[in-house]
Amino acid sequence: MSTAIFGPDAGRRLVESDLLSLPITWMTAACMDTRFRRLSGWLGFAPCESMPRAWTCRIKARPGVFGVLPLAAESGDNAAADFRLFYFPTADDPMIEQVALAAAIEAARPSANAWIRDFPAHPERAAAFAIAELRLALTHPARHLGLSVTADKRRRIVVPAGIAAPDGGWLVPKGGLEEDLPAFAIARDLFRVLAAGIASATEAAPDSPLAAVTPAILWMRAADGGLSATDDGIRRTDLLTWGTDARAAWAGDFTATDPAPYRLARAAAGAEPADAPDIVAAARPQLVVLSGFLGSGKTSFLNQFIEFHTAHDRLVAVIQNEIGETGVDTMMLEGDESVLALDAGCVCCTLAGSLTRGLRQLADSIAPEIVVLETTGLANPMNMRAEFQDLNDLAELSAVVAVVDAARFWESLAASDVAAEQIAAADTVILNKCDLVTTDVREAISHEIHHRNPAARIVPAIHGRVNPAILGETLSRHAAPPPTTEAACPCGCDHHDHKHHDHDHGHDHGHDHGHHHHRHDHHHDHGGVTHLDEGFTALRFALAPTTDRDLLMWTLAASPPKVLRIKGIAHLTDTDAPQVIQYVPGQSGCEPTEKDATEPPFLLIIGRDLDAAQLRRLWLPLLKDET
Amino acid sequence: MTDDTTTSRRDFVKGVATGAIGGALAGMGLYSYTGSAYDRLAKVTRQQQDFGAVRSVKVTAISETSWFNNAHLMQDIRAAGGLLVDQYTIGWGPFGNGKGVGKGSYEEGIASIKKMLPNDLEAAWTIQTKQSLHPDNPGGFATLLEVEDLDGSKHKYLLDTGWSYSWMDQSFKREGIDQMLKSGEIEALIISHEHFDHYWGLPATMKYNNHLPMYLHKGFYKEGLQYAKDSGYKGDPIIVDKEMTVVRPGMMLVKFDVPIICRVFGETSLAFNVKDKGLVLISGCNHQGILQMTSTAHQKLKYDNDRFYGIYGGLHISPFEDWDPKYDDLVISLGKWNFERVGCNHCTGHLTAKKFVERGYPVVRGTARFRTSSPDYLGNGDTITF
Repeated sequence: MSTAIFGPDAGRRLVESDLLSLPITWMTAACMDTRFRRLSGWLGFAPCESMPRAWTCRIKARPGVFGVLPLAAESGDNAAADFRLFYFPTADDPMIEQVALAAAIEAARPSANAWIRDFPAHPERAAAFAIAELRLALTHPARHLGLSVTADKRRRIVVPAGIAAPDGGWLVPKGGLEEDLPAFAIARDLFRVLAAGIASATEAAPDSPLAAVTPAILWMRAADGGLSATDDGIRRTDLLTWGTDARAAWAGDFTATDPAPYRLARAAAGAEPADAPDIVAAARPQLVVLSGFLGSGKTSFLNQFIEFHTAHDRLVAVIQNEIGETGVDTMMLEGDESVLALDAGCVCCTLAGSLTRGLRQLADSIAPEIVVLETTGLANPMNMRAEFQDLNDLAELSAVVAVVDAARFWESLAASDVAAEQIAAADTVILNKCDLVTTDVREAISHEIHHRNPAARIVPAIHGRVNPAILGETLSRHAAPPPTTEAACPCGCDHHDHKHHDHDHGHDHGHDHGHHHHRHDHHHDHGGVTHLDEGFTALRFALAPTTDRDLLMWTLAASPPKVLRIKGIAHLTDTDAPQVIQYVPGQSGCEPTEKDATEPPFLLIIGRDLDAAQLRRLWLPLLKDET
Repeated sequence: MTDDTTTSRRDFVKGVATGAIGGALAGMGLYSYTGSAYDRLAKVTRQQQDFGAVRSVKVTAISETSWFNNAHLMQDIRAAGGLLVDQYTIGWGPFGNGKGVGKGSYEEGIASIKKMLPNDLEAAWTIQTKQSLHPDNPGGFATLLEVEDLDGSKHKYLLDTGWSYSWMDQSFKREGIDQMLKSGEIEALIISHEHFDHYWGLPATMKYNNHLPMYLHKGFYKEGLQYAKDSGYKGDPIIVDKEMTVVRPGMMLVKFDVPIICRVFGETSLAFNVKDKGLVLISGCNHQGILQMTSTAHQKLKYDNDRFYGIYGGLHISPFEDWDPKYDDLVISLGKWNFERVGCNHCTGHLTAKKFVERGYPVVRGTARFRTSSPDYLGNGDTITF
């Protein structure tokens, strides 16, 4: 069996501690396979403070937290280990109503995760959440392996006297069920993922699944709180084996059972057709669309995002799209080939062509696991939503994120409808620069965002610092396909019906949409407002080889109100490292570039109806001598 | 009152849990009934091994820059087939064979340079730069440990030996490691794990001392063991096969059996009990995860003041991909243990290091020299004393 689990000395006799840590070991190995992680919905695990090591984990199938506690192991030629499985529902989990009331209250407390992460240290609290037993068997030297889950199909506590609610009603009617938990179904959700982990790490599909049933116990709770047991119900065991010798560790009458839940394990072992839709889908990169109004802190967030995933051995690629010709933000990102600048221009207009090409190019060159589409600060993600349907076979849309500048929130909204629509389109709104506003203002902004987009998760942040793992949890509403219309586009670009942006973009653009320094003659309404409609323009100037810091700061501060954003690269006379220039109204600064700047100093000014001549006069002392 | 359930259980549960409904619990009995309905769990008890003490540990980061472009590294791994692919087949030096990504081989790579090892490192690496992927990317991880015993005597150890022959030879010379190896001052080489950036620079150590004791994790593959011989090693490696191995009083090797990317198995970290101060943890990469490291030490080792004093090395988050985004794994866990001195680099992450600093953790900052890119890292040529 695989060295991925057992190491180079795979044939060695395992001792008890090896056996008890084996599930962690095989899941660690399995998670190195991107496709397995995606296919299984594995969300990660954390070790507990206990010996032998217990752990908690989450999977996509359930909102709550699972706990796995090693109990005892027996080494030898027929080694076996037993584990207890826990499930801690969250406050919003339907299962919170199915567990005993006191347990539900414990699990729903806002602070519950803190002790759940360390549940073995809180035995009195954790006990009520034990739902199942796992058994692992391993033969020596043949390395046949078996894994089973045993749980009550429903775990019930009947309360003959009922439980009264404080307001006079009944929380549990007389003779009703205080607890009615589908323990087996919950436990099997994790079991099938663990089994798929074995299949992935060993590259071996399990034998046909087996099941056995025994009677279960129904608990009766008397008025004084005492419990008595009567026989009722069913307790079920499902068993998967890799090699039939492992069967010896299980007594009882096992018969064949429905293989459907264990197709995942077969897929993880590569035993299902490679062109099965779910398997193909799991191989696509995840696409994160990152929007945000000018200067809101998108790049700060993006840097956090990249480091987070790098630490998890995942390769992130970034597709950048700037309204000007130079993607200045690439200067602040690590790596070369992992950053791809799309053709200059607005991604919302050129998406289907450029983005499709971009994703293909990335897939061929570096095959990233995650692609971030960083849209220009002026792009309207509302316009893109239809396009993502067309990209479905190239990437899985996993999050639409809008970064919002708390300090400039109201002005941004007033200045442009695009800002409002970025909020409306997002599944996660990062409310950045919270340190620059009072708590009252922050709450008012949160309220306003919630009003505009009740489904979005709002995450307050400073310097763009947000744990990227939160992204995408509220995305499901984007999954619904939009309506399509077929009217032809008057501009001849094969666009259909510009009154909506729900047309098919599964084609390459026939002409260059790359230079939007003009206004289109036709009304380019995509069902939202594009920056073209709003008269946004970008100007680019070459800066002198060196720049005086004070003069630069003064000039930035003297920007006319129509300037919404300035970015650039400058070599300051008082420091060696090239500096990234950043300006939004009321805020400007310089910071060293994260990597060497290779292009000559420049300035990019973005704004509405800019007066180019006036800006050139303002900046003239700092510009490159054209003569 | 009717027999119908007239109050939403969810609302009630949420109300009590958040304190909005109070005083209602008196009649609920809470867990009075769980004792019989559910098995009780055993309390967690610590079983702490007394392993002596040292007076101090001085750490010099010889090189923490394992590679210089992460995108190139990850690109090579993905192109070779992903994180499970055997590192010896990726096509990196010194095991490049000119056949391209994913087609490297230990045998072919080593055959091209074996006769030059360990003395002619430049020639060997020059050959490899012509037949390996991204030949300018390798750097390496290597650390000098100077342990002061309670009697004042000092003992030097080398933790890891880097990757690129030329980068490591240069780094060794910069820190005087070449002389320390030659003179026998360095008492042993400890390899944290078999990864390319910690182990493949072995000839750089062998060039100056080919017989010093060398500790290898039990999980080394046959290529790794053969490489010791092919690099000119004349001793017998000490195989770390127990969870706890005392190197000298107060200095412990802690073995973790964890699968690591690129077909590597297991990492060995170090724990020191510094007299009157507490526990110091030193790691190559912490592939076992920082939580696993701290909690194993907490459960199984006895140390002064029962407190964690210092930590050094690559503080790797993987493989435990935490399920709770609100719990900023590494940053918070360090806060919980209340270290007095933190030296981080290598795979920690620059922004993570910056967060430590901003949270007020006692990060000993570096000088950002010799291609270390951030002063938040304890970088190449920097030292920290515990």
